[in-house]
Amino acid sequence: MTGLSHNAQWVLASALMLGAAAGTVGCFAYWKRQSLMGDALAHAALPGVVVGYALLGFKSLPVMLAGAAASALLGALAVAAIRAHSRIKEDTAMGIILSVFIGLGIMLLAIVNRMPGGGKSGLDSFIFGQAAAMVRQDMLVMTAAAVVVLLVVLISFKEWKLYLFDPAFARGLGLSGRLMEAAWMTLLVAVIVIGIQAVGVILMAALLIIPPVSARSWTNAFGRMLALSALFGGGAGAVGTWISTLGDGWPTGPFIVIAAAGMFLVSLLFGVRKGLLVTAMLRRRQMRRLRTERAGDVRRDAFAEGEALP
Amino acid sequence: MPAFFLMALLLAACGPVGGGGADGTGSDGAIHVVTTIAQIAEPVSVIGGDRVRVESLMGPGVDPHLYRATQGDIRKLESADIIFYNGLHLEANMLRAFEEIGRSRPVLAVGEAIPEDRLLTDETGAVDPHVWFDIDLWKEALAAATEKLKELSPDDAAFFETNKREYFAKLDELKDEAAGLMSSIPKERRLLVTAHDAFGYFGRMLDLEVVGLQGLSTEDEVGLGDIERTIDLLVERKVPAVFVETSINPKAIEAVIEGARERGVDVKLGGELFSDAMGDAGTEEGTYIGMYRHNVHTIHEALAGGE
Amino acid sequence: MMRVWRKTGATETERPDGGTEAKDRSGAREPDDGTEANNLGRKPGDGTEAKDRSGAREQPAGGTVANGPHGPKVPPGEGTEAQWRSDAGAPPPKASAEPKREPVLRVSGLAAAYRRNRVLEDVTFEIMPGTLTAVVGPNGAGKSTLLKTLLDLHPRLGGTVSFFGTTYRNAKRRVGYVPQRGSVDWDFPTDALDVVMMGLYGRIGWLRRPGRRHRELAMAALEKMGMGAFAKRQISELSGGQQQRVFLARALVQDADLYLLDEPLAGVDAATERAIMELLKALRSAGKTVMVVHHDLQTVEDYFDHVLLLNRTVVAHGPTAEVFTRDNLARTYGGMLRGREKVTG
Repeated sequence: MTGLSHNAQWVLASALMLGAAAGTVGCFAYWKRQSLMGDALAHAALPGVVVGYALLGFKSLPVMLAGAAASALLGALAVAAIRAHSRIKEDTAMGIILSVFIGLGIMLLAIVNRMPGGGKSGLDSFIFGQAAAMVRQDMLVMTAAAVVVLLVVLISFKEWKLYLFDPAFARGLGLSGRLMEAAWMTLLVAVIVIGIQAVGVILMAALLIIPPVSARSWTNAFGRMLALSALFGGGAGAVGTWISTLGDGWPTGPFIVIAAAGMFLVSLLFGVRKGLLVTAMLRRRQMRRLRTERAGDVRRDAFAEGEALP
Repeated sequence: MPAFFLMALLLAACGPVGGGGADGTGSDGAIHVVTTIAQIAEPVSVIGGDRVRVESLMGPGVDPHLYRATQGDIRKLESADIIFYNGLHLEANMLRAFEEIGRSRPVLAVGEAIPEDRLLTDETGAVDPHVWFDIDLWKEALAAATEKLKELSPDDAAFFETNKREYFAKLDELKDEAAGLMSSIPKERRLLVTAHDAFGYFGRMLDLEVVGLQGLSTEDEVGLGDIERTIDLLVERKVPAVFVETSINPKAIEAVIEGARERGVDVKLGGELFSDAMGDAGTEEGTYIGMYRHNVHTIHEALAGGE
Repeated sequence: MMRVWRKTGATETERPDGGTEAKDRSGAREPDDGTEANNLGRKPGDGTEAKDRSGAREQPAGGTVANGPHGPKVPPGEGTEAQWRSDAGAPPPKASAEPKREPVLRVSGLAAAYRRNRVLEDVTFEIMPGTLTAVVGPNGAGKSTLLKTLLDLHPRLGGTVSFFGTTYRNAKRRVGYVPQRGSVDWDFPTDALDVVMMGLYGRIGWLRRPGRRHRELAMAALEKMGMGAFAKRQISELSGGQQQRVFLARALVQDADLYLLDEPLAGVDAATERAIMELLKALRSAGKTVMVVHHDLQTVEDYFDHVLLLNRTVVAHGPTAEVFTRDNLARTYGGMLRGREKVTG
């Protein structure tokens, strides 16, 4: 860490912690087949932020975050309601909520901009974020978030595994589906809200979605996939931050996304379990084996009668 | 407060004017002027007196670099008799709207009325659009606007001209006041660090060195390099204060302050400056002169105030 | 206050005996967790609880021990282990082999809807212990919905359900559920042994890790289903029949008294079908009760001693020999039956 300014260290540590937390929570979303949910909820948080400002008339971070959380939860409920009472599929529902809420948020922003009174500055930054402006307090908050996520995962690891794999059976065993859903939603919204006030909606969605997908290519065990997700998320945060220090005026947020995408590409190609390269190699090996066996069959058939080999 | 009385006096001194001309005037006889930023709107309302009705699309705290026109804005533009905007790529997202509107009514980019050789550019060759901070340049822009008003209502030409002269006299006073205050800041402290590069013309006119954390436009995201470079500058030059702007998220400047503090340099937040937007309508800072004065005094206090 | 794992009247160290300790817990109303998002407003369990408290309680007569609220106390680990070790294929004879046979499952007037359709209407039947019952009916007849509604996985519109004389919630420990194979994402990164061990999670409880003992139990169940060699295989690599066996091993490891299976023989190979039926018959011989939603009319008589014909309501229910007649089938299937010749009666 030498050679990095204090600010760079804060940003790197914050991005690392946030990435790890987001990667882990995103892994749950992945197995609930709700990868888009993180994106949808991050967008859904925007109207709440604006309302939080508008009600008070000045910017208060706790109020705006509470607004963000409430708005995101509303979005989650809306998705559930759409799924329950219509034929619309879940990813469509999430897409709807994402668009509607962000549209609402931007509209509210436009209205607020016309209201008298200054200090509206910075509401826009919830969309794109200002990752480079994170300071010590952000680092502490992100670290706390990462620790909480880690604890929740460790303490109830087998409960999460069961709930994600077979929720109906889980309910039959006595695992409270409501509790798991509530815990999951709380975790997701908390991470989202903490994240978007620092790095914006778009970067949050990237950190929630990309690391788990990358991790999948490397392992066949759920626990290991969680760990790898956290690793890739945190890694993207750290590497992206570091890269952004190399150039003059390079923005941190986009480089974190690029780092995450790079990790995904590497995983896609070279992942030990599901990577394209490995799959291609295995296939070639199978074909070669088949060819030798076939050749052997032909020779054997020429000598013996009907002793076909498997 | 004094400005208020001055304005009231000005308006009173205008006296009743005869019925409006038939060309391009609103139903109440006044010219309906729509502008983008208040830095245009307010002076025009002074110069035009009760012969104009001025509205600005962007209010206090609004960032013109990012602003997008709404349907309501378009309707306002369409109902206008004449439209003034800054130009020079300040209202970056509204250019198309102006092109369209320009077909049916007079539109003037007041900033572009200024001769090009008087404009500032940055390293990449982009033109700095924040021309209102150079009082002389702004006088030229306002003069161009006034000429357009005269075209629309020739009967009021003399009226406009008188008001303009009086207003410009105030501006000259403002300039002298500002120059005096700024020159009282010790040379080594004459460094103005703000959130973005809005004060180039300000610095040129008043002999201040100006450094913005972000570049000319707030569209770019702040990078770590920007922050670190600024902190280096603060540490090296021992700058006592930096400034946030009313239309910009202060988080980046706060990160600069905290970073400098880590390096043992205690930089204060000198205050809030009006950069791309002015204050609330009806307040002192809601006027061009009031806004400018606020900035000057805030800077002076923070930098000249002995430490 | 919500708990992570519902206490169903028994912890890991105890063997449930009859409905005794279940009775003590009937007063504890837990917030409902069985409702799907498709909540139609009725809280399942309301009807049952009311009825139960009104005095229609089943008292398992004789043979049961009532030593305090949670049954006989066994030191953690020992009693259970001893019992499990003696389980070399046949579970220990149940202490609750009452002389008077009470139904393990009693359903009365059950009604349920799926979206806007009433798929179950006035369903009434009783399942006696030691039977192997097939639930058959045309598609859309509500067979799967029946199982799900019984297990509080689907909202109940009306009627009462009692397991072992008490609510499902209290008897959960004694009921094993094998859902349809398609209800699960088989791409999930886990192996067969892990899935089977999930059947034990309720007993392990929160905050504790599965131990060696649990792993042994799971292995034993896998081996009983002929899947011992596949313990560490990824479930995504298993065939349909193998997946079904894993599901059954998971149910086995729960050591329930009543098993509800949803189309276990659908899409499995012949060897697996044989293995599964052998297991179900063995369970019956051991005194357990099995109820199976079955899709293939051809094999009902060979496999099942009782049959429940369902088409939104119970058309007929009883011993296969008596009930599985052409008339009943015609009434169940309307005009949908083809070439069904081999029926009795």
